Amino acid sequence: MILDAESLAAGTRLSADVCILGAGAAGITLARELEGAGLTVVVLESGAETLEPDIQDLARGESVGETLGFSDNPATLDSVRLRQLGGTTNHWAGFCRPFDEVDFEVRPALELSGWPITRADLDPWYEAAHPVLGLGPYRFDWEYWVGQEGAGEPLIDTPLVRTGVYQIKDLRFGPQYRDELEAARDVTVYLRANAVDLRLDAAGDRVVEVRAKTLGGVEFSVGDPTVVIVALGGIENPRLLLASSSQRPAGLGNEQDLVGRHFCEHFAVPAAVAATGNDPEALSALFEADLDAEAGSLRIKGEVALTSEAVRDRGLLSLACQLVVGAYAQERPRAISGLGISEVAAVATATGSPPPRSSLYFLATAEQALNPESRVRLGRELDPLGMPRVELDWQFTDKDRASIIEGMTLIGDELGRTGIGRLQVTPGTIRFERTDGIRPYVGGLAVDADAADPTGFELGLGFHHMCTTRMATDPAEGVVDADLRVHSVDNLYVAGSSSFGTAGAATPTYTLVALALRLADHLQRRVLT
Amino acid sequence: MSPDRRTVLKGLAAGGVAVVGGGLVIRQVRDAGDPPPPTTTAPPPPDSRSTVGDALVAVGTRYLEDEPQEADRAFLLEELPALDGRVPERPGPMLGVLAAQAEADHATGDLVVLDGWVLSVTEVRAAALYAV
Repeated sequence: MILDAESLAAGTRLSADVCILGAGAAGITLARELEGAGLTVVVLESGAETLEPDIQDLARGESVGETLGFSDNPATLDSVRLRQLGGTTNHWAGFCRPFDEVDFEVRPALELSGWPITRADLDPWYEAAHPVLGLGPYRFDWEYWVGQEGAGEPLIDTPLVRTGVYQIKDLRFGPQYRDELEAARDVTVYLRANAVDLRLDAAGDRVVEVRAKTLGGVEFSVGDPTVVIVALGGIENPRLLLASSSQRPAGLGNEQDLVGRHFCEHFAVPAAVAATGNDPEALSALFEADLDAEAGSLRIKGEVALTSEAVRDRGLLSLACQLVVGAYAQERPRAISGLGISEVAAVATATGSPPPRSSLYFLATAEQALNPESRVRLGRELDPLGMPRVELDWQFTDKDRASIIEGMTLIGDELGRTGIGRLQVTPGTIRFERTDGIRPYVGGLAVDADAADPTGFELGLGFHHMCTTRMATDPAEGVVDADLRVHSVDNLYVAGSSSFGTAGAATPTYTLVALALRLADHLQRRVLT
Repeated sequence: MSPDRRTVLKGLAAGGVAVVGGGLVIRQVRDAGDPPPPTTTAPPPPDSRSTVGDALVAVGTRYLEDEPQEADRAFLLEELPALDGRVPERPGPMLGVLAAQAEADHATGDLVVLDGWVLSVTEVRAAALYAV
């Protein structure tokens, strides 16, 4: 059932076998999996069924590090996350594909890399996530989808650069699962309920009380839970652990000073343009297939990505690109300075490559390297509940930009080697020039080679908050173990993208839902029996 | 307050290409009343900037800015053995004999990056022949 915590009597002490904090993608997935398991489950959700400004204001915080987004339009911490039933899925774009094999591996070039689980460990849970997210078959290869749709073609498929496919369905977890939660017998969702402190037993081994408040002033608690799962998002998860400092001054799970560290985002960089011999309509059918699809329907969209082999062998960070396709005849980027696409395409054709038919624009999504100085902290300002507001110090290094350049250059190399086309690596040099208001795509781009700065181009972001309670076998390297349990607290678990071991280049929701399904299974099999 | 992510990112999309976080969607901004996008099947228009000769000179000149020591026709022809010591008068159809060498450059990593363009050393040296 769904109840309003504002209606609780002050001092109410709820009881439950499982207390889930947060009703976003992870929390709702966990609650649904535990329904019918013979357990009592309480879910505390800060928000209501719709967005309420005073509740959303609790997400406000200060960004003290790198600019979130592009400098002329920075984002704020209360605009990129949503406090309402369903959480941030209420405005996500619905892109789903699994992390690559290499994302789980130890990579010498990436300090602290390696998850304590493998892609193979997660495969069954990825597949199990499909009905939760309304997706199609567990297939992300272009061969399958082009065969299904009967149209489209890949750009490239080599051992180093592959064409892959996103499945897209922007399922809102609140509206989608609201009635199911309302009808649930074992699960009770309390709206407008904010966890503010996790209290331990005398030995300091277990959480024995979750203290909560409402903005209306109701203070209540959940007592003696067998399991507590923090599922508040990549920024709020560390915030609550850090703020639960009444018994452990550094916060829960923070004995190694790791809670909140290694904050990762996905860089979003307009990274390259290219001329290729492909039929633009065939490319569009795969790479821009989502544009014409009906809202709410399952859509697919191609991407060009470095393979695991490339990332592994070249010591790169993961990188994947979405494409905007134009017909070379009508749409091609204009060169403000330096060599233009026309000159290069003409030379390529003269030296044996097929004549250009498509102009392409590459929007790269790139992995951020783990960086302990990139972190979530508690600020000095308190919110109306008395919780320290969050302070985000996002930091990245030259290695992040260098890997984007190197990865895109590798894609350009492979396009040239295979005779498909020629690519210009142009991060930070692309300008958008709206032309006729009709198709402001490649034809509306200009590239200024003189503006190239391989060490200083702007890094946009994907609004994906990851790795702040990262998963690791060694407590010296991560906050939670392979089962998402906080190393130093017996019954405390952390779900969501904060527990990712590394950030990869795939969007996170699909993976965090798979991890939530895996956690629910683990709890039922090993913990709550 | 309506903290819609699309609103947040509106400004990321100068010129109508919207970058939507959470999925990094690239959306075509087109109002319902707008006419459809132009067809992609029309024949290419004349492009004064890309006649083969002009393009070769432009690329070759740019390469020689970075590698002035290669501004030597004999050297360049020596590096392009498939040309048999002659600079083709009609470069379009004649330089195709370099395709295999250009492909091999990519396999061996003999690449040149000019203004961000990832090119084989063979093709830029071929272009340089027309710029010396």
